Amino acid sequence: MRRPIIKVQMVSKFYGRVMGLNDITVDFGPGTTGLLGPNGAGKSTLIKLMTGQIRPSKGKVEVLSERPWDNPSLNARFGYCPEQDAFFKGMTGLKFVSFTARLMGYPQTKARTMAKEAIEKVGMTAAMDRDVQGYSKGMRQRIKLAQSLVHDPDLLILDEPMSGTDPMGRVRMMEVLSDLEKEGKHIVVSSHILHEIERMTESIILIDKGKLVASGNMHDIRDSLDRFPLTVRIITDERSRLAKLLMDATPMSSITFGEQGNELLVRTPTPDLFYSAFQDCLVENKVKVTAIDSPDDNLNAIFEYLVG
Amino acid sequence: MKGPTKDYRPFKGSYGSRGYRVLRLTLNTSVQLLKRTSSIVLLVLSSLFVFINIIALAITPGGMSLDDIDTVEAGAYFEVRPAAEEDLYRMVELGSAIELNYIVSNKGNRPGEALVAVVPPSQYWTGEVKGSSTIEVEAGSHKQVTFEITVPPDQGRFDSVSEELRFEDGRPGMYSRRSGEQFVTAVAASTESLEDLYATYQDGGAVPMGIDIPSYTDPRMGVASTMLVLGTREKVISYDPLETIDVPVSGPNLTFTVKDTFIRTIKVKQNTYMERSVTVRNVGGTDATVHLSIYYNPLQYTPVYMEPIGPPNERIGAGQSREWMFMLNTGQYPFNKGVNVIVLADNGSGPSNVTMLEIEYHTRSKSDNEKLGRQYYDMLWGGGIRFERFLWLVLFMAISGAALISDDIKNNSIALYLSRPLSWVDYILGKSAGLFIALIPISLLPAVLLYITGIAFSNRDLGEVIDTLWLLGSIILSYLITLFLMVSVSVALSSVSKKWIYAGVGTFSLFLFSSIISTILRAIFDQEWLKLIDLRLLMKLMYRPLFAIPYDPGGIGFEWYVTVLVMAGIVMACAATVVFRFHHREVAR
Repeated sequence: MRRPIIKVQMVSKFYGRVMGLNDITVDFGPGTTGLLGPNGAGKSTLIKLMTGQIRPSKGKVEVLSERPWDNPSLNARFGYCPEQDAFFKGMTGLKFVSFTARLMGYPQTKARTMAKEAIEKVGMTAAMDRDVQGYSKGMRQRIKLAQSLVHDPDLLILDEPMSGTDPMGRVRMMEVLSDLEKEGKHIVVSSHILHEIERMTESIILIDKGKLVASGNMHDIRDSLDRFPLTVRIITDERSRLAKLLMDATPMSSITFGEQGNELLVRTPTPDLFYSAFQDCLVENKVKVTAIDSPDDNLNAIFEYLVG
Repeated sequence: MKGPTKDYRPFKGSYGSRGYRVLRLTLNTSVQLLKRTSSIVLLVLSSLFVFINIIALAITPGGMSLDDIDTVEAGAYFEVRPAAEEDLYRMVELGSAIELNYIVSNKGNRPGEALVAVVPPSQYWTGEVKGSSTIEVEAGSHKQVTFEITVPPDQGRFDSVSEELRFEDGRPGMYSRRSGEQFVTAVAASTESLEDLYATYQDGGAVPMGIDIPSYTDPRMGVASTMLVLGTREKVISYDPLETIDVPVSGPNLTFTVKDTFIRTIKVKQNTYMERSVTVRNVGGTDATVHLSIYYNPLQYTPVYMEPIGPPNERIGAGQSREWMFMLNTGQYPFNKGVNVIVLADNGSGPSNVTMLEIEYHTRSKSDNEKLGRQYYDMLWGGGIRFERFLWLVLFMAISGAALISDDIKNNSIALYLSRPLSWVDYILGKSAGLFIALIPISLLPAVLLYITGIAFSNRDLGEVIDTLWLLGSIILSYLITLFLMVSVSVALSSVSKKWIYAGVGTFSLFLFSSIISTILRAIFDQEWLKLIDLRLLMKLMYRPLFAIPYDPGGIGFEWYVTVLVMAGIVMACAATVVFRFHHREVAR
């Protein structure tokens, strides 16, 4: 069996009297691991512990077999992309990434070359000479990702890298992460959006309220989640027709008309089946849908279900 | 299962040294700080003031030098003697004019410039120097100067004690004696010719009056003593500033005394405070009263404030010595014409041919270091117009330095720094050093420039420049201490909050308002120790020894090490704040 990349053993973290993490023990294996949890679950705290930004109040964290707290040499071996916007003032994208490489200890020319390579990987070459502060949210997330991989680390620890990005940005980011995984990088990526993680990896760790809820293979966890009905909100001018078509096509817990005249609310215990059937239904019957979203498609609802 | 098949690689470590990474952070911090608009504005304003100071040093007559310049170097002095026997004395008809030639000899071992002047004994006499009134004389050489004296037909009287007398033949006359015992002069105011009076005197007749022009130079008139003697003495009194004067005593009411006189002219530049000392040793066999006088040169109309420290008259026993300190303090205007320092010894009445005095004039002594140090201390750390240098520094700290850490906290960029191979100590070191370097152009660099400019305009030779290098060291050290203290405070305050304005106001208050607060509190509570609140005062006190200025606990209320302890305490408190924020509180959380 291969060694875990990150080992978290009975770790607790207190912020004064507030508990951030409560006695978590979990291993992060090689490859990509999704760290899932609702807002405030403790994902960022766990990531900061793994990156040595903070130290555990109790327990032990090991990253690449070393303790990260007060161990700056370990930082050379992983790349960290923090959740919030984190930039140095008044720098272009290239200078920003290049400077982070220089902080790694690389000489100027080498750092610049490495920065350009990293920026190219995240598809930001065209905008690399613009000031970072003028970037869109998605561009900022990508340039942050570039700074985390500029030194070609073995391990990438990404805290909500797709947070705030538009759908196109998310797709682009997932492609980048997929490419990095193919290059052989180990990736820890946190998110509170289940389907984002689902598209990137099968290995997930779920935490909530500072506690470990579940970890392991996606399918095992989804089996338990499938019993939890998902609400899907559809906006269409043909809601009656669509409701009938969906009832025939897929099992549903309920289907109701919303307060708005074009709103349809569907609750399904099998979201995967539903989305597949829904797509076929639209194509075959040429139903025009204006919008679709899922008020329940977040981990808050799921964890409420999981933890009772 | 998706994911890589390889395990993680062992780390080989090829990321440069820790020092290199800290250096990168340092340089980047400096550049970023100096690129800020506020920094550029402050730098421009500061540079403008420095430029004005330098221009002032360059174009002001005489400049503001590091040191005063002695007109006559140590070891160079002049003697003035009559060129010929007839120049010793001359019978002059009232109302006529005569020319007298004198030899100005440089008896020293350095070239010098002698200032020669005619010193008419009374306002009714006129005189002038033919040719230049200043002459360059090489060491061991001499030059001749010519004086023209015009004696008015109606000889007047001195404005001192005088009485009207009558000659034996009943002709009216006048006896005048100058008061003050400095010198005794008899002046005839007779319609008789001088030849007649002299002849009468030589014949042993009672000649109550003669014409005796004061026997030595008016001390206010410069280095080279001129001596004009016209009169009826059988032997004219010769004056030599460094030799024994042998004076025969004769004639009623006339008493001459032995006088040794030391004259020194010092050129003092504007804005100069200087202290000098003269040591007088009585090497004669009898006691002597020694008098120290300081005059400003009457050719120079700018007043100078000067006073001897201690009583000007001292009775010095045989073999004893006495040192006088004296201070000169000039104002804004150049004072180029010089100050004359006169030391005069008087052993009382009676003939004497004993050399009385041995005089040391200190031009390069510990007090010179102190004076030089004080001048630069006042210029760099004093109040008034010098305050602006400190002001720029504090403003830079309050505006740019205050954002040093707080901006990183606000922008979450601390996480980026700390996710590199940099510890929080490296981060603080790099940031602090960056701020330190950014402060140099606004603090240390102008100070060093002023030192260099001052040296350049002080006419020093290489050896003398080397002698002042201690001052350069003091300047640098004082600024390094200041920057260290201010950077410590700034980093600590900046790490406390995300809002730089808090750190800015804190820095500004600590360094500028603490003086006001201290003054107010002392006025209320009447406690001297409250001076310890005044950071700027503490810094100034701490730097006094660096600039060779004696520490005066009596005027301050506590010993020097108290200021050092307080400063060290502040730095430690700052360090503790940073440790608490970064290590204990985990600033990145």
